[in-house]
Amino acid sequence: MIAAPPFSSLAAAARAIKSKAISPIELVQTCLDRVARKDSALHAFITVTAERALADARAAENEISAGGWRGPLHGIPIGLKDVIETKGIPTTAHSRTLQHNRPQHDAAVVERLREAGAVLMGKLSTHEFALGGPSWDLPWPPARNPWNSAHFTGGSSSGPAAAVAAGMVLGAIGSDTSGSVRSPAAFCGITGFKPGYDAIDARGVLPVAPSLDTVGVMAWTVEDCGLLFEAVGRADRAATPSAVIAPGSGIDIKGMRIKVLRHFYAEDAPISTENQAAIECALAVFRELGCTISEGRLPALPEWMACGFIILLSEVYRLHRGRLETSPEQYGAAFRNIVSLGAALSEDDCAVAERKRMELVAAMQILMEDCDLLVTAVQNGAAPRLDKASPWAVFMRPSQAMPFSVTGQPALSLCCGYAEDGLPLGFQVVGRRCGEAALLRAGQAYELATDWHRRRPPCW
Amino acid sequence: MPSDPSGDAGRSDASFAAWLDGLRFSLDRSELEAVRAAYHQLARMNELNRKPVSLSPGTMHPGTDE
Repeated sequence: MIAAPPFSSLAAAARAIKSKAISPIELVQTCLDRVARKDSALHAFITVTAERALADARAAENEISAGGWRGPLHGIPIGLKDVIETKGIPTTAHSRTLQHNRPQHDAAVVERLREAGAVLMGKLSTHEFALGGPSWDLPWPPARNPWNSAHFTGGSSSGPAAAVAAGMVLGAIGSDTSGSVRSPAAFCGITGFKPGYDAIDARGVLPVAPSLDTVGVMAWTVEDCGLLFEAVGRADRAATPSAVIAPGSGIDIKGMRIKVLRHFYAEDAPISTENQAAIECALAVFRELGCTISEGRLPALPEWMACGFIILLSEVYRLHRGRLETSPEQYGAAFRNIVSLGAALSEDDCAVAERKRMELVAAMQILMEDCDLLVTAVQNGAAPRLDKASPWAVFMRPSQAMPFSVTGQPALSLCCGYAEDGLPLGFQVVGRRCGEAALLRAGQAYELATDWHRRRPPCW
Repeated sequence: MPSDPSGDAGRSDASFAAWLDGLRFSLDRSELEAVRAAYHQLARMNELNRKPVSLSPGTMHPGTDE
């Protein structure tokens, strides 16, 4: 029998630590026990930093006992996607090429977590260099979905999603180039928050495509993501989550104007009917909260995908071209084959995609002139079986997440129900540029009005 | 790369063969069809990028309340 986590959310644990109802050591030890018992089936971790975690927890306990509570992340167990550099701790990008890489510096986001007093639990699985899909020819296996370990987590922040959903950490830091925080959050039933393009300092995060890469946060609730973002994000963008101080207080979003991008998921790249129905229910919740809902239209989803993917592929190819030419055998086949396609792109192809990006951003600005939020899908439905998940999926159908990577807008992935087989269903709420605070407020209002975020996987 | 494989399949296939020849590693036979399909999809994406943004009427105007 595995001990249930003492808290089902980061915010609840933060309140208990602040009031000294629980010690950080007790909390961290419970999470380490869960890692020891669960991760052999889920493969969320590449490196467990147990000694470091207990040392961080002891330091937090001593400081808090002496009246030095730093804030909501103090003593909270956090995991990092293994593309985030950690001084002296392996940072592999889930790739044989970096299997023995021990960075000399912490990434900027790790420094911010340390300042906040967070506890580092370890480094978490990804797709190789945060691209492609599940691969079996890498030094570590792909992560599995805690709701059903035969199913895919989504990616590329696969380990962060699995670790949060299984209660092995209370929050995680991921990265999102074209949906890599939002998609696994949806498949694993948690909340994923990709802030605006430059809202979290990306220094020390191994790049995929630098003009699209965004550091993101993952946890069970919007409130938790707000707390993480407040600790690691730009100060002028952070929300002011009140729940640590005043739990249960309502959030008024009456009058917010929402446009639904229904054509993305009902016409351009239709998602499952049960996910479409679940999004309709989510819209009804926002309507009940006093939001005005109208239909929005943008250029079709394949146009966003074509633009974003050509930019992504050209940038990732430039980063890996040298090693692909000298030692291609160091990469897994999926990454090697996909990225090598970048050699087929000309400078003109890339220039055309960049020009298209400006046109698409302009179209988005026009759409956003008279609305506060967008609602659309995030995935095609519930998580597929892991043995049916192809790294080539990105070529087969356009990503519902890509448009907001192209524009750099903040976006939340939220749970809106469950499929017939019990797997979570998600949707996306998107804010204006620099509108992280308003987006988190709307997301938290939705969360307070629903119960989806309270369910836990059978392995909990 | 050729940007319209659907309109000029021969040219695109020749281009794919040239790309394959340029690889510094051998492609697993089981991967070949997936890679070929991805290559042609990439060419379609390039073609799409060369077309003007398809602004639908709803893009330019506020939506209608449901």
